Amino acid sequence: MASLTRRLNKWCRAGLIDEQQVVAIEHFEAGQPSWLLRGLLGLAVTSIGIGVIALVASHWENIPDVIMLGLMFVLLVIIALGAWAMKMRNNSTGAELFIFAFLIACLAAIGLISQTFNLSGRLDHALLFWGLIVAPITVMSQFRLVPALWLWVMLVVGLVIPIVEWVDQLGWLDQRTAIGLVGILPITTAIGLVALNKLRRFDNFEWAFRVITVFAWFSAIVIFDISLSWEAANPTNKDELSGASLMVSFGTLLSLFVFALAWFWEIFPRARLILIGVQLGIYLSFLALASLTNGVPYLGSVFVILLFGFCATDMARAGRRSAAQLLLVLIGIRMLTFYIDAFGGLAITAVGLICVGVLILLTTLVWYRKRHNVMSWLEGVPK
Amino acid sequence: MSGKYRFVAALIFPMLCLAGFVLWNVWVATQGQKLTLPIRGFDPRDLLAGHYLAYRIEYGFESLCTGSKNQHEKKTYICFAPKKILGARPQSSECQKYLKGVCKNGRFQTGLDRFYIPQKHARKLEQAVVNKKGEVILSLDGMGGAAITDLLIDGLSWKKWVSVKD
Repeated sequence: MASLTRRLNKWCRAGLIDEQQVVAIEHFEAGQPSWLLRGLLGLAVTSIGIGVIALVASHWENIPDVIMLGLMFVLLVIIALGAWAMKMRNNSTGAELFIFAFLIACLAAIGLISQTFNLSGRLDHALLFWGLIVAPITVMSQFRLVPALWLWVMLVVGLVIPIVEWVDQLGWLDQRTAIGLVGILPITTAIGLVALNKLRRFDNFEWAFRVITVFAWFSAIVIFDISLSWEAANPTNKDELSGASLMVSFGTLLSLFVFALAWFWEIFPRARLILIGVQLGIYLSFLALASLTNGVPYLGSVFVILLFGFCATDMARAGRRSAAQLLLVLIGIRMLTFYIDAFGGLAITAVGLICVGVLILLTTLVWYRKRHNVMSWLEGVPK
Repeated sequence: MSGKYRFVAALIFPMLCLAGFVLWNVWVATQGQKLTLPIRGFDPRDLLAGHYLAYRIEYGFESLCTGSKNQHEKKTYICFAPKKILGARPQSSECQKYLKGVCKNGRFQTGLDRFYIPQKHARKLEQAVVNKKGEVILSLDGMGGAAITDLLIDGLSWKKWVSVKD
């Protein structure tokens, strides 16, 4: 709120908005439910829910199965009625809390049923069942937390684990295949992101997809970099290439698919799509090198710098200043580790860094002078 | 369907699914073919995991999940009458009492290796299973699945066994 007031006052002083508008905006924002309040209430609901379930579970011997299962359904009905009542009163925070409690209660109910009937199935199967039965109510949730948690759980139990099992059944699950698998994750989640962007309906799910795509992308790059930089982390054995080749081919096909979707649906302007396409190309080369070849010293840093450089440009053009700055800081850190790793001594590292700094300076100056020409060409607008 | 009705339907749907899940398990436990099999603890130091006993069922098949081909997950069916191991679901004329599982790392995994017990009786029951006095009653659903209906110690239901012991 303090940050908003600061910005409002700045805009007011610049003559963009008047004082009445400042007061109106502040009044409106003060009436919005606080994320901190929602978080604390969510924590309280979770704690109470788990406590009630643990209480029932610890006394299960003294409670006949029929009564215990009956109590479980009564609890579910009460929470559902609470959600309904809040919805009728247009209390979105209350409804969301009850929905959250309902989801936890459904998961706990699966656990209780498993305990009653001595079902020792796998946790991921239980989570998959839970995810499927609560999918409709999750779609109707208004805040980000519930859809995001649901989506992340479902991606793990409904996508990652089945793929790992399938690869394991083929007998191809090894270190190289695992690197490939990590590599195709962000591409897969990007498909969900592009599809939801086109639908323009499920904003919360789109946010959750964006978060997981970025997280998976960073994780993959770190793993590729480690794999390429340390030979021991990626031993050469031609027998191990089947799974990795499959992952690289699959990743390339998925990338082409998602890029084609984004291009035909015009998700982004043409220039941004070209920049994303370049990043995708670098990423795929990085994936192929990391999972198919032996460790190549220093190649990891070249790819990281290239990839983050293009991504920082993309973020800067999209107006996402913080993301661009973060990427530039990461490039700087990677350069530093590269020089220390390559030359060992601090003096040579310093000389190397000065050279790189001069190179960046010259490139930036050239870019700054020629940027309009380049962008006009990328956008396809006649000069 | 209006938004309100959709919301109600979305709340009722999970409850109906859970009720169906309960009914299915009740049906398997009460209507399935019963089978009693001995059990043993595969790690006597760590048989207890929270509120349940973790054990291995002795299916009575010597060559079950042996050989190098079973290092990776492989679907397997075991028929109890006549006794044989199959790679695919048996026809009803071929076998009616069978169990589905996967061979992985030399073990036949069915998801039936857990029995929930109260913590106050845990040590006694654990010791009994370690001493090879334990058996479980399986109720086969006729489609390869099964439910555990009781844990037997010295041939008695565990509840009766602990009451006699106390």
